[in-house]
Amino acid sequence: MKLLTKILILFVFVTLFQWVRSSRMDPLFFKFEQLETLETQIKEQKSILFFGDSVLSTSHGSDADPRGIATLLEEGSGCSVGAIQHAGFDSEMFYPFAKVIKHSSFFPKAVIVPINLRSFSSQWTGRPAYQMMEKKYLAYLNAQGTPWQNVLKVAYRPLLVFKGFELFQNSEETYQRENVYFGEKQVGSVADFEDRETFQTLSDETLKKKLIYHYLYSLKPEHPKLIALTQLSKLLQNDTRVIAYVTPIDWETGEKYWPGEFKKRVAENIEVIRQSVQGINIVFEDLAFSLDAKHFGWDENKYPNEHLRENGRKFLSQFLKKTLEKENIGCESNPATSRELSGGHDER
Amino acid sequence: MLFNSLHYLIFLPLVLLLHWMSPRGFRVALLLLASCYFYMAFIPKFILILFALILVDFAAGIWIEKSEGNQKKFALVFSLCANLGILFFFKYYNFFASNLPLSLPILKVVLPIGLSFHTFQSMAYVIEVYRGKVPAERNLAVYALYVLFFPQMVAGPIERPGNLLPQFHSMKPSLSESEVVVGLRYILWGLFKKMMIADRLTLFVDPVYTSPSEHSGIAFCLATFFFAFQIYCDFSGYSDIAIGSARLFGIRLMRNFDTPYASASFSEFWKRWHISLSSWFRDYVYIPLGGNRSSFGWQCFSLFVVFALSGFWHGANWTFLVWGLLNGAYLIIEKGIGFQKIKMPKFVAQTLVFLFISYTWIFFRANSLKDSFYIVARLFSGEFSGASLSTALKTVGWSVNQLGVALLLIVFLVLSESRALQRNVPESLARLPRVVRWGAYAGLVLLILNYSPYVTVPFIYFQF
Repeated sequence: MKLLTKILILFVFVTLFQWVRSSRMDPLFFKFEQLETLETQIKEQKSILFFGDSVLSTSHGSDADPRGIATLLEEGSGCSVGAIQHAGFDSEMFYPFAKVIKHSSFFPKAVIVPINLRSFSSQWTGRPAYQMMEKKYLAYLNAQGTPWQNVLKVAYRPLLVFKGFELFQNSEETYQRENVYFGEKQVGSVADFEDRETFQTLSDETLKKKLIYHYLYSLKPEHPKLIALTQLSKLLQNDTRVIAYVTPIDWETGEKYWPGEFKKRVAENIEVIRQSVQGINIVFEDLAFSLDAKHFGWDENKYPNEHLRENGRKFLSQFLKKTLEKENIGCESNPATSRELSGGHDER
Repeated sequence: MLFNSLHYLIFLPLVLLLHWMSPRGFRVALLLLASCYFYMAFIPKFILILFALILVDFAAGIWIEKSEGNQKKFALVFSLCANLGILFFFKYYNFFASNLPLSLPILKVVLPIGLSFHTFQSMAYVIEVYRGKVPAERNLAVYALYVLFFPQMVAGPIERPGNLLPQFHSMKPSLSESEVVVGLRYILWGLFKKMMIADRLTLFVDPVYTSPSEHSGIAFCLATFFFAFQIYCDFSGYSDIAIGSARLFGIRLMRNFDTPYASASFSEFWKRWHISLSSWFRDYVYIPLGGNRSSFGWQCFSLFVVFALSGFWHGANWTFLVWGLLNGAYLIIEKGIGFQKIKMPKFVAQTLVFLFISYTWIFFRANSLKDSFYIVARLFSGEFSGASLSTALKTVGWSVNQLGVALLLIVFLVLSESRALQRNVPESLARLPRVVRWGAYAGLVLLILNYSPYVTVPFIYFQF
């Protein structure tokens, strides 16, 4: 028998074996922590699902009350709130989560989606640890109810052992070479802005540099995370109330080091985001400039970010509570929405 | 691009297809392009260093061939200095800067991957041309491919021009089914050793050697035992994949490992372990220093030089130097007392050699001399009981099952390789009945797919 035929037979045998094996594997093998949390919260029929990154729960050393935003919102609104968060999560990760919700049998009353402006920056977008190809793959795998789900299952383990996910994400070397922009002007590469020695300090010079790196890019409508945000919004707009808000940033520090420039550029970027979700039936709130410097706790990290002190987290939870009230989303008078209760049809 | 990555599993068949479909005249250029792509998948800009060395050595080879006397020597020295200079700058400068009392600045340099391997391969070329053993290569593309040939460029085997250059000149006209089968067998066995064994053992070895103060004697013994097999499976696995990949293009690379732990003496061990490097040092350092024809005292000196250099070749760290010198000391003592003349069962000799070699791996693996001395001092400290084993396993996050699997795989490896005797396992597989053979292939593939730990562990020798 020709060699190629023998190899093909071997390939078919191995594939069939893997097909049978993967179909009998513990479903937990195809999940990860946050996906399990989401599925648990759907199962528990949480009224509000709150996607988030580290801003959701990071506290400051000086806080008397270290509770996160989701916990404060739950306390203030009386609704059950389920948080699904991870330090590097953004709209590209929230979108497959939205698919999981879409293909489940339960819709929460609201899904809260923070839009972190730093997630569109070079600091975040190409960072290998934040690309999360494997997690996205697993989220899609668990969201699909089609025959492709079995193919994804069969392919998962080979992709894992042969580092297939790394093929589709940046290497550290590639990431370090990515361009950093100040508006439209390229001002260096990631390596120039990630000098560890420099970034241990909080000098004026390094702060100016960090602010460019995190916030002063020029956002384009075709940015993948923006596209993911619009896809997520369109996916869920008819089934639940999507509340998307731009995360507060320390604009005071920004204006201190880039007077007249900082707010202007950030506002332009927010306008691009606003335009991208225009016409979609979601609530969009811009909270970028809503808090002054004393609400932020990034000094402990030595680089400007969106981590909030206690007063900042309380403000945000109060704001979201009022938004829920404005949208008539309450938990005592309005029962949870369920496909089964309403006899809703499958809108996949 | 790691050999055990999807990237390589896509890259290799693609290059193979293009290679065998293209006219023979284009194949060198195609392989060269593919090799450049392979290298640039690591850190692209470092290929410029290789290009510079290629040009220097290519020109030096022609210059040597055309020159006589002092000019010839000068050309050789120039080329060797260029290669060693680059190696010194990237690999050793910071070591000397931090260890010598000269107030030299510490530079932020990253070692280009595979630099130690291709500088040695390049130096072998100019030395052989100087000695008149090979003609100077006149085709720049062929010479460049000699340096850059992707299967062996990053971690060897360190080839000789007399083996590779003629093969590049006479590229096989067509794909041979038997060569493909042999090549695939080598690749499969290499992947099995790397992914099933080496990457599994690293999960125990790394925590112990990273934080030795958290562990005790039994953990050190087990970690050192495991490391002996980890480094063997990792490096020989890489070599097997390199040999197999090259075979798919009809190119035969030299064998790099020959069941080294079956050695009954230290001199035998060094004829079986990293053969391409040890033979390089033999041919270009030991023999020019006088070799076995010199007095015993001078032989000892030569061996010390060879093993000091060999240790240092592995890395700019005192631990590698100690590793090298220890191995040199073993050889000298063996020569001195005539170890091979001592009558003992072969198994006993093999065990002793294995134990002594494993002891040197402590220095090879430890992060610093301080750590290595700490481990050596406590190697047999503490209890050696079931309870202490249980504690050792718990500290690294292993279960008894995982320990059992690791030991089973080591036993399987030892039995397979001893069963293979004079041949290696890939070639021994050919002697099995067809059904058993293809069953073995399927078994190896399924084991790799389903039971390899999914960790990203670069090949150990990539750091050299």
